[in-house]
Amino acid sequence: MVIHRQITLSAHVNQRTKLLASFSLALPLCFLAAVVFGAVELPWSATARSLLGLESDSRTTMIVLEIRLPRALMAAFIGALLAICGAVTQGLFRNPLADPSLIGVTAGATTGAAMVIFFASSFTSLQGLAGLSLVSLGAFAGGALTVLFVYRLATSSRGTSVATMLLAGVAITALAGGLSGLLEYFSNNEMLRRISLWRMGGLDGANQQSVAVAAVFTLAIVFVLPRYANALNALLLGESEARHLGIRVQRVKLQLVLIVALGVGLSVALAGSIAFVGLVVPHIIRLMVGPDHRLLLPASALGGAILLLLADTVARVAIAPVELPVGIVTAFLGAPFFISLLRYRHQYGMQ
Amino acid sequence: MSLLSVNKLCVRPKQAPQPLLTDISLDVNPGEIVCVIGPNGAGKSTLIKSIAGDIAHQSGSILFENIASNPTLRARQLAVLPQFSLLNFPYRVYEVVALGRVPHRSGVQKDDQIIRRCMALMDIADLEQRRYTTLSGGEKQRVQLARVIAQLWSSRNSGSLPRLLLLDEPTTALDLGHQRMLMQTIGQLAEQEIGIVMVLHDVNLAARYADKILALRQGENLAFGTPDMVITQPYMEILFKTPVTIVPHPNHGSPILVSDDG
Repeated sequence: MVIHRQITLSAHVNQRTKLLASFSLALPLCFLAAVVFGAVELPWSATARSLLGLESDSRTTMIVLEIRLPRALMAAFIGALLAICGAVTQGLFRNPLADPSLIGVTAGATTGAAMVIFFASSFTSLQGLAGLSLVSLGAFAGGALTVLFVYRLATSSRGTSVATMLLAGVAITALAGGLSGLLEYFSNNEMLRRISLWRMGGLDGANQQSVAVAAVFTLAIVFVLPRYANALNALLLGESEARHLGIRVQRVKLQLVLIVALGVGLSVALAGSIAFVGLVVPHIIRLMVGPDHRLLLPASALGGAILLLLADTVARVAIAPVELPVGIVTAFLGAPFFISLLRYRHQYGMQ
Repeated sequence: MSLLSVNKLCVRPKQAPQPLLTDISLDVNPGEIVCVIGPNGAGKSTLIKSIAGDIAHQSGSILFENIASNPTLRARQLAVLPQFSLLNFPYRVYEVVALGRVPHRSGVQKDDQIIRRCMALMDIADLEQRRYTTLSGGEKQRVQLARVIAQLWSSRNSGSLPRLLLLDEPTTALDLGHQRMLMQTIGQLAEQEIGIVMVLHDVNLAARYADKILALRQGENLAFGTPDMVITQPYMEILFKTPVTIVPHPNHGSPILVSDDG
């Protein structure tokens, strides 16, 4: 009996360590691959040496440090951010289909950012760190309002309605499209240029400054969110049950909504809208190790970084030298995934 | 000194046409089993939810003696089993029961022992590695029961704290054997000075195991007292609006209600 107990306990621990260890190994490899592959394929060894700072002033080093490295870093940070925010949103909504891009949060954040560009561009240039912070703030506000709205609408004491949640997402995306259209209609040429430049943004806009911002916030969010793992686990039982387990439900919900809005808003401000990462990654990890957030959250962050690095590499190589926006690749990957999830949703007891 | 005293409790939400509960008073002492019976819609679940703090009451009071107000500390002393479970994520059975240990800081080893003990009590040890979403209704019910029992399980330092367990229809989905097993476990918990308030549909089960029974009818207290005082022909015929006969159980003599439908 005692031996049996130790075996199951350690098997459990083993499974966790194995997953995190394999992800931690895969991440640097994918990162290296993302730097090696591109319009020009670089030699692996020279690339690795350049990344480690052992080689300087070669052509390879220049391509690595100036072009490929910021973009790969940005892809890894944004991927981690989107996946962990997706996992948290699904826990919050008690629904594995709740991806920020599907329930309108991304659209809300995009509109928030566009409004900031529209109203602020007349008196500031929106360049550099100040501009980036302002646009991020707009995206954050838009995203936060959307999550709160959709949550109010779709969640009752009996759970979250998938239909209401997704339809609210459709409505908000339509509203956001309308608002953006209206903004563009009233924009002068200069503002139009700015909005569309920003919207095309994507990962290719990555520079040292934006990568630094992404690094600070992503690392902060990735280290803060696992503190909510127990609360999210308890929330999956239901809100009253979580309260009976000693979770301060209202406070935790509000904090999580704000963190998710911050993460999604930041990723929208830095890289435009990239759909489905927050849906695909947590789902695959749940299939592998179950829904325990203590493992799901860190594993999602690692998995999201890996997925977006690979997707961005495909986006840059597929029809080189032309680079596709990475959102196109994740959409092709994520949409079929989402449809299959819809098909098998009864396994989650959803109508 | 009672663990819980409910005094003249009235619950009347704004949208409700009539009050859900009117002037309900009851006391629960440590180690006492109080069963709430009554027809559908009598306000049994409402009573459990108001004691649990899930819904607000309009007048009257609910007082806990020596139960902490800090949420985490309170969760070590007050556990609630709701009537329906929302859980639709594929946790393993072990993980669901382990959620009962969230408010505690008793360490992985100790928690593991408690979780296994509670799974054995509810006869779900064999289901340990199964996904919750693949279980039958009765199995899910037993997993949730094991979770709330694990939540109140005393680790060394909180052994002497007063504890209260609220159960909303814990036996509904269970077969006869598991019903008996549950009621015996509840008896053991009561021996450890845990106060228990439970909604039961089965009047005979209440008559056999309860120290006190509260009969609710349309949100009002029809009768409150020992099983012999409450399970009587006049009260039961008013309560369920059907002719009944009360006979003593051949083995232990507690009252048994038989429907007169012939």
